[in-house]
Amino acid sequence: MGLIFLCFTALLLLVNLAGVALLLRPWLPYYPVAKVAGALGFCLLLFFVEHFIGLGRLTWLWPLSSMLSLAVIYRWRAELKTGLWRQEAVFMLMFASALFWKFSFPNIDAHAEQLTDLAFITSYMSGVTLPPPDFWLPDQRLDFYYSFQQYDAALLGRILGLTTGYAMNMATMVLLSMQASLAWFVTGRIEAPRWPRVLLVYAIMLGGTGIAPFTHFILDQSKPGSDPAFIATTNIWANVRFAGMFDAELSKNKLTHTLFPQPSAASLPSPDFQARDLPLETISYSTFQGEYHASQGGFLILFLALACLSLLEGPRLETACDGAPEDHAAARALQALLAASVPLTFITNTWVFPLQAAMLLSWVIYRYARRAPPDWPALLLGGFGALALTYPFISYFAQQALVAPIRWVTSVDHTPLNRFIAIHWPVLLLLGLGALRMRRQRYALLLVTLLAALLLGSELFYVDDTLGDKYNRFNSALKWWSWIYLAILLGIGPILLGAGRVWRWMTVAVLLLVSSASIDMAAYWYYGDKSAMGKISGHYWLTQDQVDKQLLSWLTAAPNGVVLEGLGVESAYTPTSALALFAGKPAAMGWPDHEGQWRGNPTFIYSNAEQARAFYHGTLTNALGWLDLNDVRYIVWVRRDEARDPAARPRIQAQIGSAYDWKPFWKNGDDELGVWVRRD
Amino acid sequence: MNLIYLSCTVLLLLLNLAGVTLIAQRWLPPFALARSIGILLICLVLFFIEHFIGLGRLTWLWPIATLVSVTLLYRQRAQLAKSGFWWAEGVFYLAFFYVFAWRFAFPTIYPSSERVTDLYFIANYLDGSRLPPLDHWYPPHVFDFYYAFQHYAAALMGRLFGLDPGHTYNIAFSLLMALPITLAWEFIGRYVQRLPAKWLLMLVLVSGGTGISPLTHLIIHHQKTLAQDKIEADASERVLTSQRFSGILDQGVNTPLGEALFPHLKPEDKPTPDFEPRELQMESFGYQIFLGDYHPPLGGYFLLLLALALIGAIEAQAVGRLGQALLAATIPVVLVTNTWVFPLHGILILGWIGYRYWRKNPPDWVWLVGGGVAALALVYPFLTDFAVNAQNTPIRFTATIDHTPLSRFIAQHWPLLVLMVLAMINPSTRKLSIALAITFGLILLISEFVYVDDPTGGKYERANTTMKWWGWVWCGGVVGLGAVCLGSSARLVRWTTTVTLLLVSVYAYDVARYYVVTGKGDLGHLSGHYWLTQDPATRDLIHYLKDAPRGIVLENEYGNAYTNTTLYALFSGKPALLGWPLHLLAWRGDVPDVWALNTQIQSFYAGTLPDSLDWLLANKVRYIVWSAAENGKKPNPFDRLRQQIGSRYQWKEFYVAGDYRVGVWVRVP
Repeated sequence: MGLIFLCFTALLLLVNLAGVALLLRPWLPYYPVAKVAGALGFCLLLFFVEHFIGLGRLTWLWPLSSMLSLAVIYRWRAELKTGLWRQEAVFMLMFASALFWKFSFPNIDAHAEQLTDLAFITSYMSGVTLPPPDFWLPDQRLDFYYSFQQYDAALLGRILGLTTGYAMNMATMVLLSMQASLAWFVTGRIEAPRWPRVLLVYAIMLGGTGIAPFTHFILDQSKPGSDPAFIATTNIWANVRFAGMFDAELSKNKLTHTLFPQPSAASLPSPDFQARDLPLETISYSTFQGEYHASQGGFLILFLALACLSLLEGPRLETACDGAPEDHAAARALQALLAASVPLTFITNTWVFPLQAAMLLSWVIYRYARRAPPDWPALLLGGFGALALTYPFISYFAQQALVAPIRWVTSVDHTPLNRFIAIHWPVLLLLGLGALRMRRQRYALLLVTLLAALLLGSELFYVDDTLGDKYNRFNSALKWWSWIYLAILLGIGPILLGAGRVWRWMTVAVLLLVSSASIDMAAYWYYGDKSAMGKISGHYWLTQDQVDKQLLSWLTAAPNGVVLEGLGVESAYTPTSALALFAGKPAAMGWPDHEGQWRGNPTFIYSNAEQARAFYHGTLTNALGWLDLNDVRYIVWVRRDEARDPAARPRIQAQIGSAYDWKPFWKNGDDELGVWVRRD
Repeated sequence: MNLIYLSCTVLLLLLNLAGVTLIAQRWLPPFALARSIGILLICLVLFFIEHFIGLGRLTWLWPIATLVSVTLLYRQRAQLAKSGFWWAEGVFYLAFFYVFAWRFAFPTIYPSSERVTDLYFIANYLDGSRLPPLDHWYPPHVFDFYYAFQHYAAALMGRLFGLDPGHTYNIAFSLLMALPITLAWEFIGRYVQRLPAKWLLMLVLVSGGTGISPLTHLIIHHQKTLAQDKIEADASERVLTSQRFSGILDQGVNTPLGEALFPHLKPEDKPTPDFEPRELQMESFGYQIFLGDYHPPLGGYFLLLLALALIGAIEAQAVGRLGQALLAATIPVVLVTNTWVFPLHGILILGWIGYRYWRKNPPDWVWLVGGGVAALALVYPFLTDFAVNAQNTPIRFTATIDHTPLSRFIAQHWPLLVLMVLAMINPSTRKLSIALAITFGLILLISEFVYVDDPTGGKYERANTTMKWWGWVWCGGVVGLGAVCLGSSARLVRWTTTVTLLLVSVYAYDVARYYVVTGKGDLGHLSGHYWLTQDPATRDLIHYLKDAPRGIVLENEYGNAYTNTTLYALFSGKPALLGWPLHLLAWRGDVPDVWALNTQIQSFYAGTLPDSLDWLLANKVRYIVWSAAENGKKPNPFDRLRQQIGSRYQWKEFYVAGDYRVGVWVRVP
């Protein structure tokens, strides 16, 4: 049954997305570009509207949109038959690949940022006027985070009537397939055999960083007690978290000793100096982590911008439009889209907004240098049109987001040269090769200059957020390096692949080495725990416990209200709030560390967490008052709460029994699990 | 981030105003007039409608309005390029960004002068409820005793663009000060052709001082100091001296020249033993930009320059009879904007009518009366409440003891007197020059012989009157007389005017110095509360209240006025149980209830109010703010209060360290 539903949901999605692409075809005759631009445009429009009025449930929409899509598909049937189907087939193939992975690992659990993303999505699922209540802090609003991509996932869920977890997993598949189809499209702008193009897309979607080919040689692959899945996980992690983390766990051999000598105490800048943690996260890593995080939305918009640039500047512009003659209107649409990508980035992944803006600006300068000025009306329309649509969001976001100024990197925070080269050598090589092509190809000049400057800039500047010391540059490196890395692969990679045999083989060599990270992905897939296979709702890890399963089912059906779940000693990466979120209800207690970091570390979040802990031990004075203040309607008592303090439940019952009814879901002697429900 | 938001907001505002200008200029071709009249009409019509039905949130309107504006700009782009539209817009942008630069540098809204009061007026209207709105300083009473049309207009802008109270305040200030500048430019341009002369006159308007300005550095010597706070204080005092000379800063002259010109009042020269020199201050147009209060004089200046620009346009036949109707319409609008200058504004219009009869070209009474009556009808719903509830302030003759000492009067007003004399002998536009000179001369004379008898007395007997009237006369006089004199065909008139204006514009140095040397710790924080919310607990408290359901906020009373009371409520858009008692007294007359409430609030916070829980519930208090200021008292009343009210109010903590707490009690059902 689950499989049939999944197939039908996927079919509906594919039909609707195909409809979007074809609907825009008269103005934007580039199928994958139109598909992504249309989907983003639709979401942006509703994002704008819902800041004025929440549209509530939207399930009535999909029958209409599906019928419209089918009609549009029918209208373009001739083109589809004569070749356009190949474009759709590519997208479907990419979607199937993403589905394959998510089908194997659908759990949305407490590791990485999966529950964080789920909290954002669930907040938006409420369908109220935006910004919605923060489902991790229900008396405040979700107005502090660049969460357009999570809104999109919620919109998908609201239209198709999916649960929150299902919506998140389906949205992840759509996002990955859009990224991959755009990457394939960009590589298609060059004259090159198909296999290097496949390799490039493969490297982008499943490849790693420069450290990827070395992980098996520099890390211990045979730790006693380690299973193959754990080793694969370690390799995948080491691939992205090398500088400042895994470089301290290298196996002791001649290679590591030569390449990455461990610093002596005397060589450290200060006695308490800690190596700077400088990550670079690839798409494959996010896929492995199962996150639906902002960086991925940023990559999608980057790929969209690169697709526009490749169409506007690429070597095959004259044969663009899927064989149709060059279309002036389409060129204008592409320029408008390029400009719109900047405000879109601002609300999707604000961290890389300066980079996206730099890309647009450098293209404008490049056009003036070529004496072919851009189409300013199109640029202004695209840029300011998108800006106007994002303005309602910005009007809240700008006032709540933390102030994070850009500063110079101090000498102590710079990346050690050997680490920098080890991580970035593939893109440094591509930049070098691209630089040699600049005289022949002006488009290469634009990209090489821009991306080299950005890479240099990422080493000279950083965003001064709330983190410090070891993590001073953590977020800047994480966001900027990842963006620049992919921009070089997809920007300069195709130019080199299409430049001739020698260039192609050199590039292929780089890409093959980068792609070696996929060996660990494959190993993880093969050896990893796939017990949740096919449970796309994402809560199989939770509902294996029958009590939790019943509780979730009951909470889902219960009237709306704030749910309180027990909080252990951890303040993040715990299952707390999972039941509420999967049930589509606000949680009185999210992850205090995350909420604190986002909101400038207000003390009340941590003190409230302490009160929640005390409540679950039955030691909170004035427990009823505290519940009242937090407007708690349901209080969940599950196995981990019972394990934490088995004697607490009777104490809590004594404290709140006058206002809350106890509803048991499981009983064994004096032990009971269940939920307290506020009497109305 | 904040800069991006501000840029977007300002861009949207300017785009929409361009649209308004384009629509209005179909009937009123001069762009500056079209812009101002367009905005005024929108505000006036909605002010009228909202007295019958509150329109609530209006943010849905800006996308539509923006779309219309963009469409208009796009469709008319070819004509606009030729018609001088972009030049007029350029002048407007220059004026707007000049004022905005001041608000950007000094955006703080704190209990100095009347900024918090103005924020409170705006906050009353931000709800979008039916007018008159709930009084956010005295619920459940309604706000119907104050001429707050300009605050309604600010709130309307805030509601349109979804701005918070502080942003609304600061952006509306920039707009309301920019519009008169464009109107002055329009009026001056009709008489003065040379650009340097136009710029000089604009400089005097925007940052010019008074007659005392060229002397301030000669009559008051300040110790040279390197301490930053001293430098800032000195810069501020230099700016104030030109405006608050007579009766205040004239007592501080300390150079031989100063003492010779303005000898200190000796005890034997006092008319009575307890006599104090009368504080006779003025607040010129340029000074308002420095002051930063979004107070009614701003609206008064706007309407004054609108009237002058209309007169200029009517006389130049740049507008039809509609101009006369609009001119008459400004009179009722003054009544609801800055009632203080209503008589002066009336005299100005009467002066123009007299001038038309003198020219044997009588005004079109049908249009004149029609415009006046139509505007009166639009403000009538407001007047029905306002006229009943406003304080009675009769006009009286000035007592001998309250007159301005002659030396101070001449020292302060000599430039205006010179301009009047020059206008009387100006051979070009003779009748208009004489009419303007007589009108403004008469008003200046009136300001010396009568005054509005408000609740203040003693040395402040005439303070409010001169503050409101002199600034108005100066603004109208400088622009009206300055323009006709600078445009004179007689060299003597032109050059004497130029020298006079140059001397007055010495003040621009003091103003610029103040801008440069004063600390800008709140730079760019147009919410106005950065000085408060730098403290994380206060930030979190305000943020919480902002998102919390509507309800009355209780804050402690720390004095009778100019205290931090109600800031949490105002910045979070909620009504406070009680505002500043002294202001409520001034506006509402003797209100014993206010004083009783004031005492009860202080007793409550001291933990000594009997039946405090019942008292809170009876007053419908939903939130009780416990700010940093409540800590450090001995004995600490916190625990006692918690005991008293804990059964119905839950404590939400934002900071705690031992006995030190910041938080809010929230009423639970």
